Amino acid sequence: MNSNAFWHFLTLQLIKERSKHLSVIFISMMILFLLSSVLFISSSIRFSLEETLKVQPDFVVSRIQGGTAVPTPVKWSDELLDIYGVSQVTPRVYGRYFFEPKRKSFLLVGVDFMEEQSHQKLQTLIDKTDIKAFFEGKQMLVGQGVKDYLETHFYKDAYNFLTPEGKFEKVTIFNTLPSQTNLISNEMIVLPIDLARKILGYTEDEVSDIIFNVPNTDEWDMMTDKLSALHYDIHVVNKKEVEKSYANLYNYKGGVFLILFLILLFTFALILYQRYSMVYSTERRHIGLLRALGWSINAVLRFKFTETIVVVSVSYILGVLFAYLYVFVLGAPLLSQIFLGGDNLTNDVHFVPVLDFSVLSSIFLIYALPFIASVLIPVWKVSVTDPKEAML
Amino acid sequence: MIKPFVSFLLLLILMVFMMSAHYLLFPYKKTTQTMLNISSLTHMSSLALSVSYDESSVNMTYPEMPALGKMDFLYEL
Repeated sequence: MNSNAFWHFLTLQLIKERSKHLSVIFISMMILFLLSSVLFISSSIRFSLEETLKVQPDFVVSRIQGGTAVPTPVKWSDELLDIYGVSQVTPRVYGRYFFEPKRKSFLLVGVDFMEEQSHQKLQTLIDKTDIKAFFEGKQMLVGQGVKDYLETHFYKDAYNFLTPEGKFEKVTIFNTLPSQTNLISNEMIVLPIDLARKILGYTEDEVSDIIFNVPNTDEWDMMTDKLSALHYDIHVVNKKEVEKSYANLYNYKGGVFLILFLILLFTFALILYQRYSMVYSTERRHIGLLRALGWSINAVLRFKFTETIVVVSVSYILGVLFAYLYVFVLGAPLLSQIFLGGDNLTNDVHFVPVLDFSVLSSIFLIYALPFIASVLIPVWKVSVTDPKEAML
Repeated sequence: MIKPFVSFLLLLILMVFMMSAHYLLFPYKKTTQTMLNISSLTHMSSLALSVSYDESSVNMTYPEMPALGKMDFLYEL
């Protein structure tokens, strides 16, 4: 049979028996869609975190008392500056503010806008507004999730924070943080550092923690030892540990889905094997008919192999395409909550498209090989038997 | 190849082309830069995890004991 005739017969056969193939394509597509979506979300979050970690400080030190974090004395930053190799020491003031009626919480972050660097970054972040207006009175920048939540609770322009002393602090909403940053800033409220101190109940001499850089990475282990010797109640975390914890978390979540995928795939392969090897199945009769018409075993196998490859490729392409659309265009509703949670504020997150081609090709191989094997082995078994027997 | 199959194949190619166009034309630089700006302004890069107040760090029944539902092996820094 020449190539044109072969493809004509194959495509005719595929279209004629489309209802049979469509059910297989639909199930395979759903399995691949779910797995690809999970891997897309996982790789996109990891990419975004790796990017933002580049500008993060190398070390974070805080004070612990009895295993619980307590306010860190600001004078520790002077001690850190005295250590050789340490640079860019910055105290941070942040904490969660609970919206009592619903037990929802916001992340309050204090920024020292008197620093020129912070000033410039704020200007680039919110480039359309007059930045000078921000420093007139008590103002704040809120994340998209906070903005939506406050609006539904009738706080459209300002919010009254209750300080630990029982006083109210009215802060005006100046602007919303860009929605592209929802992955980080959805629950965030950025305000001047002194105002954040007042709302969170820190005194002038206290901060949440202190960050600093050590440009020479070879010194990091030694620096951890040196800092631990400085104070008994110091807690030191370096950037490598943060990277490792994120990788562990998302490998774990992706891994759970990979195991589920393997179980599903195995079950699906068994069903296919069963279908093709059934004694009175139409498949069996069809193969017998081809053999009776004079097709060689090789030609039957080639035909079934090509047919399976077409089914596998179509379901794979559709599965990955729909997963891409679902995650990177629609923002993975429902599934994103497995990774980011859904108990606090609603996060309308935009994932950065990241395609890991090694993962995609591995999925194809893991999926295609058992699929092809579960079809070709019974087909070969039938085609080597006598055509009369096969057609019974 | 018969006509319906060719049409289906062309539709599939068009879909792959659209996905590739979206992937290649996505403003990576702008999005990444905005993320970097917010991250360097606030010195925070932790994810906005939408989780409710975590009571698992405190054992409510026996406060002197460590919490039982905490997955330290996963989340510990």
